[in-house]
Amino acid sequence: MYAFRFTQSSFTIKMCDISNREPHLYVCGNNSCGQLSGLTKDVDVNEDDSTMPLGLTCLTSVAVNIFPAPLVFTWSQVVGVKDNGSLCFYGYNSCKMAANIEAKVKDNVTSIVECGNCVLVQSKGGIVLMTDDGKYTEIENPDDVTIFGATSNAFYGVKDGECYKASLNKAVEEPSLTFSSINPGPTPGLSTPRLTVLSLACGVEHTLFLTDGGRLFSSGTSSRGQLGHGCVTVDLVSVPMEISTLEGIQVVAIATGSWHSAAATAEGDIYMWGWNESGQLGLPTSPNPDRPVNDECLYQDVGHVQIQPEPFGLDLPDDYHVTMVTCGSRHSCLLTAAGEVFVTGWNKCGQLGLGDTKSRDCFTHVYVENITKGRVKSIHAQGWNTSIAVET
Amino acid sequence: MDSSTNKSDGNNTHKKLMESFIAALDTHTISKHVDSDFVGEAVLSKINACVGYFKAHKFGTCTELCGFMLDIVWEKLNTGHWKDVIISWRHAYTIISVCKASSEYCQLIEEEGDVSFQMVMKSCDMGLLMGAPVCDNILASLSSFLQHVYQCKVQGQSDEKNASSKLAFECRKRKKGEFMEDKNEEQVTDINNDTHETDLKKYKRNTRSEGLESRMDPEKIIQRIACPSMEHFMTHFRSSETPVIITGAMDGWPAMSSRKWSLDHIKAKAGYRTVPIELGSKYTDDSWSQKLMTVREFIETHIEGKSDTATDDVPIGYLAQHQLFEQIPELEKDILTPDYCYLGDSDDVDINAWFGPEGTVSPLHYDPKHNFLSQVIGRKYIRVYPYSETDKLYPHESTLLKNTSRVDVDHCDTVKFPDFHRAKYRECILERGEMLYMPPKVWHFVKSLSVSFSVSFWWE
Repeated sequence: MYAFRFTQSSFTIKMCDISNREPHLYVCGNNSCGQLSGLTKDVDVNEDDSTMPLGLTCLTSVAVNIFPAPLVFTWSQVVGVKDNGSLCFYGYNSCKMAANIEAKVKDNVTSIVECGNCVLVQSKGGIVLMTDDGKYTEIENPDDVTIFGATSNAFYGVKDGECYKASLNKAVEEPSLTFSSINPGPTPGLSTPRLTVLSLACGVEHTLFLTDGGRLFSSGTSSRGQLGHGCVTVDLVSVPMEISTLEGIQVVAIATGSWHSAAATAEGDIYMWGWNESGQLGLPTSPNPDRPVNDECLYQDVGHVQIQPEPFGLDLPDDYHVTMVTCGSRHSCLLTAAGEVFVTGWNKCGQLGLGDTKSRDCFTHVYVENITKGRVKSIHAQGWNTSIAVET
Repeated sequence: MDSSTNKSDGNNTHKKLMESFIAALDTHTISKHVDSDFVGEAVLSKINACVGYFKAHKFGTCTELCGFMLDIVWEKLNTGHWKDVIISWRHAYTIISVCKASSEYCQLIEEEGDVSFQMVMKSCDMGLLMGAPVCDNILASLSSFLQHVYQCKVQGQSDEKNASSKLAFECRKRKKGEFMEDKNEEQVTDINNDTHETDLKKYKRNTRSEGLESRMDPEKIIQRIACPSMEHFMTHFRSSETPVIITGAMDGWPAMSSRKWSLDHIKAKAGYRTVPIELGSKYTDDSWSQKLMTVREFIETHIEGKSDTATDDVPIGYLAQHQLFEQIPELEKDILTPDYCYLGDSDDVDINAWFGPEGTVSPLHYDPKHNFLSQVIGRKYIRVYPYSETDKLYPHESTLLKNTSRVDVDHCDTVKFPDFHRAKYRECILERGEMLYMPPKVWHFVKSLSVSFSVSFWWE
């Protein structure tokens, strides 16, 4: 039994054998359309059921036959891959979505991207853009670029190590994505070798590009300092610019929330920047934070901040090495080498998995039952949800 | 009839009123304002579900779902430039706010859930601030009604029945100054003579503002004229685009006399309403930001300095350029739009409130419209430069700030801006009861010399 998995720091799509393992997937957060109720019970839930909680505040295990590829969360749906390689939908209009996609996506799915209120599904057969009413649009992809992310007005993809950007014009009869090259790197005109992009991540108004050598570039709008160049501006940076604060530091993993960014380094450090209105950077939001007594958190001894326009390296205890970072819209998660998960930021739907809906402004340890038996393999946050995969 | 029957009658009337507001939000009307092509079908479905829960009297569920949907929409409103935000999202925010406020009010009168009047008004205010009007500005009508109910409660009058019968069930367009004409106007007396209001004679100098005034050259002071006729104003000042201070034109304002504005009066009329406050010394600074808080919190923290964190560095806060009178029509009744504003081509007058402590600064900038800046409380130092002096005023180059000078008038960097001192200007200290006329594109710098409440009228 095979399936595919995206890894965080490279585009290689790895096939892996899951037949002998029972990996556990846990989810929490937004459940407004019954998407988590469906996922954790593997049943179709009546989305108009008012007794359903709007959010699941504790990490809850998912029905086993859902493969733990990163689930794609929109605000009203979850898209996952079943063990037989087919797509499954939970949440709003789930039956219609599933029925329609099956007709269109024949070969293995190579990419699923959330973009606003749409879900883009890419397979060898082509690209299908699905809206939450169950309707879909087939899109031409003549350049054969693999799409990996979307901001509020463009798609970003990679082909042969090079980066491309495309806008989508849905108004035309036969929409197609026309990609133009968008490569980070040296000033135009100088003859220096092109950089290979290893990974990219999109927020609603910005994109991060990780190149070989561990260099980090960003493009878009820094309305909340999310570009990391040290300023807050609505002016558009269209050519990816290197984040100078991180020059000389080898970045190995990146993540973006709607208006914030994160980078993990080869040394196991973590840098955060962008909007901190709910504490999503793990930095204090007020002079006298009111933190629950039982929280075990990675306290930062700095003044409170709403916007951090430049990467800020968190102060971590010596034996903590960050191996993975992921961001939802306004929250962030870290995974350490010891297999521990820390969360921070907006928590109104319970997306931090801490058992309540109080937001946190400092990375807080999440306890999950059964985790002591297994070790956390990966974390994934998106929108208002968080999921973790545990090996048993 | 005993009082409990009266109360339940009153409650039923109010619930029916809330239902009438919600009745305006039928599926068809909602789809007209919220386009599912932009927001997606799920959003539309959930908005209709909110209305559905209200109609089924499931107020707790309605309030919760409304809160959740507002969070969804809020993220969309914060994406990209505000001016580019698709109107459907702003309409959605308003519609959900109407639903939430109505639902919370019903919870309040039924005493279920943990709802306070402040929460209800906050829901209205967030909708007014972030949304865009739908259905003849139904949210403004709802807010005004709820405000009136709250005022009655606070004043101790059991006049809820009177209030609801005066408000017609249909949502009608609010006419300036006419809304909810209250025949039994409550007379508000000042409980205290506001000690923060410096009642200065025209030429008495406050020692703390000596710095600026000692530098004032009598030749440069903006001229004053008492109540000019429309023709005189047109000929001598508007046509020639000459700034002038008009005295005596505000004498008829209730805010200056019968319902004199003071900090206590403002707290009484608007204390629990949520407003956007600018924090930081000026909008050109890096540390400048905006924060939402109630008027009461603003006055107590930034003007009276009564905050709990008295030892902390409280940044300067300024309620600046806010359409307070759209939000709180009660206060609009206390001011009068100057007749001179109707000499223009348009009947639309944009009225803004500017309320803050001593030391608030509007950096040197210009606006595209004519302006009457009127002092209701306190005094301000104002300096004006004609547009012809622009080359000596070093405007910012970015599109967003090209109407703003890079020069800090209070502390001019003569090395960076060598020509600034050669620019010709006029200046004044605008006292309470005076109105400064500024033509379009006149550069101006404003600094409050005391607790100050100004009302600006922009017209063209």
